[in-house]
Amino acid sequence: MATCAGINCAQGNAKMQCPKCKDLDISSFFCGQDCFRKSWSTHKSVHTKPQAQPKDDMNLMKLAAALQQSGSSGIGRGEPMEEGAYDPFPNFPYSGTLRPHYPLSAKSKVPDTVTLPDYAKDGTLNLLKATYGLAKGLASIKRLSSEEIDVMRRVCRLGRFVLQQTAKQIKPGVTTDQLDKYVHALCMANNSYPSPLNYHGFPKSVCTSINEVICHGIPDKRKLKEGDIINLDISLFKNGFHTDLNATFPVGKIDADSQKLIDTTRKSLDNAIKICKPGTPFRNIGNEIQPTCDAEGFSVVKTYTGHGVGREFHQSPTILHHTNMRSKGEMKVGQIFTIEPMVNASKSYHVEHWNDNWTAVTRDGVRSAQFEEAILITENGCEVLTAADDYVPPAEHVTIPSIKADQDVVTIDDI
Amino acid sequence: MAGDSDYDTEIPELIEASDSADQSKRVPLTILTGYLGAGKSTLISHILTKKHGHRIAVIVNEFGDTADIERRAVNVGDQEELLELDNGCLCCSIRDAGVAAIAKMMRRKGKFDYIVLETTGLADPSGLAEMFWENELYIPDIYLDGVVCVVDAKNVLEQLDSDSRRSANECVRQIASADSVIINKQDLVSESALAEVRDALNAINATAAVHLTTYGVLDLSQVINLNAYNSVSKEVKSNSSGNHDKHNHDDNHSHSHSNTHLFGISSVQVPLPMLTQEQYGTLDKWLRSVLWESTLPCVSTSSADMEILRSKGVVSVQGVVYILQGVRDMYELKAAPAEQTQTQAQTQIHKGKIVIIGKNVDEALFTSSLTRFLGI
Repeated sequence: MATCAGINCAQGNAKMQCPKCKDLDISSFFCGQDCFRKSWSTHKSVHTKPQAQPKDDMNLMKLAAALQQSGSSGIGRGEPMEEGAYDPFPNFPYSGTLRPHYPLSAKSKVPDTVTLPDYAKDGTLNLLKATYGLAKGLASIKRLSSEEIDVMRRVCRLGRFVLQQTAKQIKPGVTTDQLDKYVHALCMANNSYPSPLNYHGFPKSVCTSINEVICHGIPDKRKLKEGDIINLDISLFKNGFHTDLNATFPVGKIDADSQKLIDTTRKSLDNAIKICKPGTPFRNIGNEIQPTCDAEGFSVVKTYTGHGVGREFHQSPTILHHTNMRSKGEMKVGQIFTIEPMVNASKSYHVEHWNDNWTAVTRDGVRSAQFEEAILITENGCEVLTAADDYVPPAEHVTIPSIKADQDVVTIDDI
Repeated sequence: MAGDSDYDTEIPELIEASDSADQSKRVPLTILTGYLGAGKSTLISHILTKKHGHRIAVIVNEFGDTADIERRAVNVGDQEELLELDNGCLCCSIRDAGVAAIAKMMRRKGKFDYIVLETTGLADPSGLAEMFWENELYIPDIYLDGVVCVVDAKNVLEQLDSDSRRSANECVRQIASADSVIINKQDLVSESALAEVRDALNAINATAAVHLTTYGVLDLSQVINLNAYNSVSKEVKSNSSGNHDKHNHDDNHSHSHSNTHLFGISSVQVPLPMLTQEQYGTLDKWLRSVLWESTLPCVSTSSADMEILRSKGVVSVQGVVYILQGVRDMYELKAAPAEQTQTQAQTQIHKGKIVIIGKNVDEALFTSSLTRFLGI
């Protein structure tokens, strides 16, 4: 049952709904008319159009900060804000307890020595290139030559290195902004561009997705807390190729349910990797992932997908993680694509977005986990290009690169 | 600062929270296509102005070639212009958007009963149809209801003729991709001319429902609620029971034949007997080869120039009815909805049929390929 959206009310049994919200298809529930009346002056602003981006309006920022300090803002139960941070969308009907912690830090700089992907300068994509996916002809799925594969393999190993080094920095008290700065510095030290930076305008160099965030969380001033789960989604561009991988990590000690969610998500990915070889229809991937997650009472997110990766950050094919028959095409030697299931800890696969237009959260506020690897289809099966050095392949025809993740890389000081 | 309206100042009474059933209701989307001047605009103004009791969002958009659309924006920001009409309908244009933006607009403006998406007169709608059909898989709010094509009875043959002399043949592609064809301005042509138009349409697309109208005034049920991607059309079904379709061909043999040749795009129909479970698997393999790899198994002729726009079919597998739906190289085989299975059982149809609409498709070759591959 929904949590009451009333100010300073934490009733978990809210069965009433604001009629105006219902009209607008906004999900907000209240425990009763009294609580609703008390919250009305704040609540009603939910009905108006979304506010302008906060960076455009200093007054709004000040107002938000003031409201935050007075403790009167926020709908539902938000976690307390870190000192010196504020929620730029105090009246947004958040589905869970996590809140954005603004202001974001200044945009990270990239020296001229690092080669940029085409979108890095203006944040927009060549639309022809951006339309990856099933609706494009199957002929658009790239098959790499062995020379290209060698370059791609190196880039993927570097991606794994950045992920494992950054994961070592995860501990209570560290902010996601610190993790972002760390990823950025590590990319710069290895002469590579962090692919998320300015991709469609994304403001940071890594996606950090905490608890109910499914994906595309923006690093900010929030400190990691004991018991959180956090996904680090690392993508970088070097020598003309992108890599893309991610994993979900515990912060300190986590509860058993969160651990089960993480384990199931990883298992579902490994089950999918197990079937990757020439001739396997892409549509079979969902048949491996969804039943694995359904069996635990979890659900597979449908809105976000895996994708081809290589010269473009995202290219065809589109890899669906849920059961479906419409995905087209068969795996062929030389193709590289990601599989990256996002799994919610309830039966609701639904996605909501925060007002930052990026952060994707579960509609019911439950936690969500994700793992991602980049897979190369080989003559005999597949190679998990982004695999951890100690990855145990789930089948005989699955291999991992002989190059270690930390081979010929530059490392930097810990946070 | 502007004052609040009375409505906003007054605190409304809370209402009982309804189950999320409402939220999960999916909204059908019709793609409206047709050559410039065929009568699309008249049809749209009819939808936007008449009291028909439906809340319909009409999206007028230069979606243009699907290659220019940002298919599914990762970033859900959007720009749109909205016009709300007296009959509860909404007319809007969403630039460079796609399904995510439409879904977001719905969340803001409340759900519609139907969405009608107008394409430019020069677009091949099959790419758009594939995009929306694919998007159902990730954005559950909207589903593709079908493609409606408006043609002008007076000029359509001329347009088809002019099309056939150019490589970009939008008019014939629009008809080929349609699930419902509306012949407008029927009052302006003679009965024999109308028969010729029907004949040409049938040669290109044997499975579309055909409706006649004047001034674009028609029953809305011919435009919305087609359910064309989720069922077997009665046109596919009726033909599967016998040779009704062949009979028509005989009547107008000269027309059909020359039209097929002329337009480059035609329908092929391959009848199927009741299949075993194993043969059903083999049929799926055949479809993978034909639709994904553009290769006709078991025949030696090259199929390099083949381009498939739409596939449909009904297959009986040991008494269970399955339907085939496909657009371009994407397809789906699934068990028919229960009520359809019942109808099938009542009419004792155990025979099936595959219909493929496309460019450079040959009925004899397809028949031979499929029957040999299935071993029937």
